[in-house]
Amino acid sequence: MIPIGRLLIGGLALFVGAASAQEAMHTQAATMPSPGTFVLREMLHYTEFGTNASAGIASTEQYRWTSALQYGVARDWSLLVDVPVMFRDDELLGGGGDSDAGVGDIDVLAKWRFYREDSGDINTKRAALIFGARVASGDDDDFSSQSVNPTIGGVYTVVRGRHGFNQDLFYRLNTGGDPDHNFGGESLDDAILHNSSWVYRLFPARYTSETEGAWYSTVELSGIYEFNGDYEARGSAGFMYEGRRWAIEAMVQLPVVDELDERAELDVAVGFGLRFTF
Amino acid sequence: MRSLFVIFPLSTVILAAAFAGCAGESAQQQPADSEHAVTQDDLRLVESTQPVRSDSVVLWVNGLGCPQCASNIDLQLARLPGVKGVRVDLGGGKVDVGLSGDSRPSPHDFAEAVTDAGFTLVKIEGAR
Repeated sequence: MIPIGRLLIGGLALFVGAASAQEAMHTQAATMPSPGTFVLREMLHYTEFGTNASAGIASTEQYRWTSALQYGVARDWSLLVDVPVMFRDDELLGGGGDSDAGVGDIDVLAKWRFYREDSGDINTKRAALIFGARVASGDDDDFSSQSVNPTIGGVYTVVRGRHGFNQDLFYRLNTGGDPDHNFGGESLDDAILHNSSWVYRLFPARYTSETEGAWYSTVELSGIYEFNGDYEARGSAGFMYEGRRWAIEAMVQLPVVDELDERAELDVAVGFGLRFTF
Repeated sequence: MRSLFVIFPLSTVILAAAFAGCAGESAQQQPADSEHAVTQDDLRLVESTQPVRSDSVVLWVNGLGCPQCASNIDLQLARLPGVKGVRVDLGGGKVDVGLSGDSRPSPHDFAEAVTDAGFTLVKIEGAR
C-alpha cells in the first residue's frame, strides 16, 4: 500500500524532475527506485538558441524548470512524470521582442527493466523499455503541442568499476506540434532521439565501508532527428555528486552537428539539478 | 538522415570502446571491484525459507555500484519483519542487518527484498 503522506509529497512534487542512480542529465538509465520509493528530480536549464527565420525570430533565451517524479510501482517497474515550467524571451528579426511563460507538455512514461545481470559487487548490466506519451499541458500554443504524442524507446546501462555507460534511443510519434516554437522534436514531424552518456567516478577511487557519497564527471552526446530532415547533435560535459538520498548535478551543453532548416539551432545551454530519494 | 546513421552508431561505438578500455584499466587498478567468492552451499542457503535465528546477518550483494543504490536496498530491507537496523558497506558490497523480535525473515525473504531493490543477493552470513 502506498503511504498517503508519500503520495501527497509526490503529488506536490509534480513541479519537480525524476531520475535514478548512475544517470546523467539527458540520458536515461536502466535503473529505478525500488517498489514504494519515490525519486524527485528538479532541473533548471538555461538555453540560448539561434535564428529561426521562418518564425521571424533572431534569437531565443529559454529557462526551463523541469520537475520529474519517478515512483517504483513494482519490481523492475516504475512510472515517471516530467513537468516543465518555461520562460522564453524571443528577439525578433524585425526588431523588438516577445516574452512568454507557461507549462510545457508533460511526459508520462513507464519504465520496465527486462534485463539485469549483476556480475560483481559493483559491476552490472541492465536494459529497460520505456514507453508512454508526451501529453498536452493545456497551456497556450507557445508551450504546448495541444496533442498526445506517444513515445517508445529503450536504454542499456553498464557499470564496471568507476565507469558507467548509458545508451538510450526513442521514437516519438508527434500527432501535433508547433513548427514556430520547435526547439527539437516538438514540430508536427515524428522524431528519433538518442543519448549516450559516460559517467566516471572521480572520487572516491575505491569505495570503503565509510563511503556515503561519490563525485562523478559526466559526458553526453544527444541527437535529435526530425522527419522533416533536420538533425542536431549536442555534446555536454558536467559533474554530479551522488549521496545516499540526494544528488546534485550540473552541465554545459554545446552544438556538435547542426543540419537544421526548419528550426533554430542550439547555441549553448547550462543546467543544474537536484535529486531526492524518499 | 545520413548524419543520424553516422552519429548514433559512432557515438555508441566510441563510448563503448572508451568504456571497455577504461574499464579494463580500472579492473587492473582496482581488484576490489570484483566478484564475491560464492559456493554452491552459499547459493542454496540464500533460497532457504527457514526464519533466521541470529540477531544479525551479513548480506553479500552484487550490483551495488553507487551510493544511491544503498538507499534502495535499505528501504526495502527495513520493511521486513524483525529488521531493526541496516548498514550498507559499498566498499565490500555487503549489507549488515540487525534483527530482533519473534518474527524473523528467512534468507529467501532477504533475497526477494534485495531483488526488489534491483540487486542480487549471492551469500548470507550468520543466518543459521
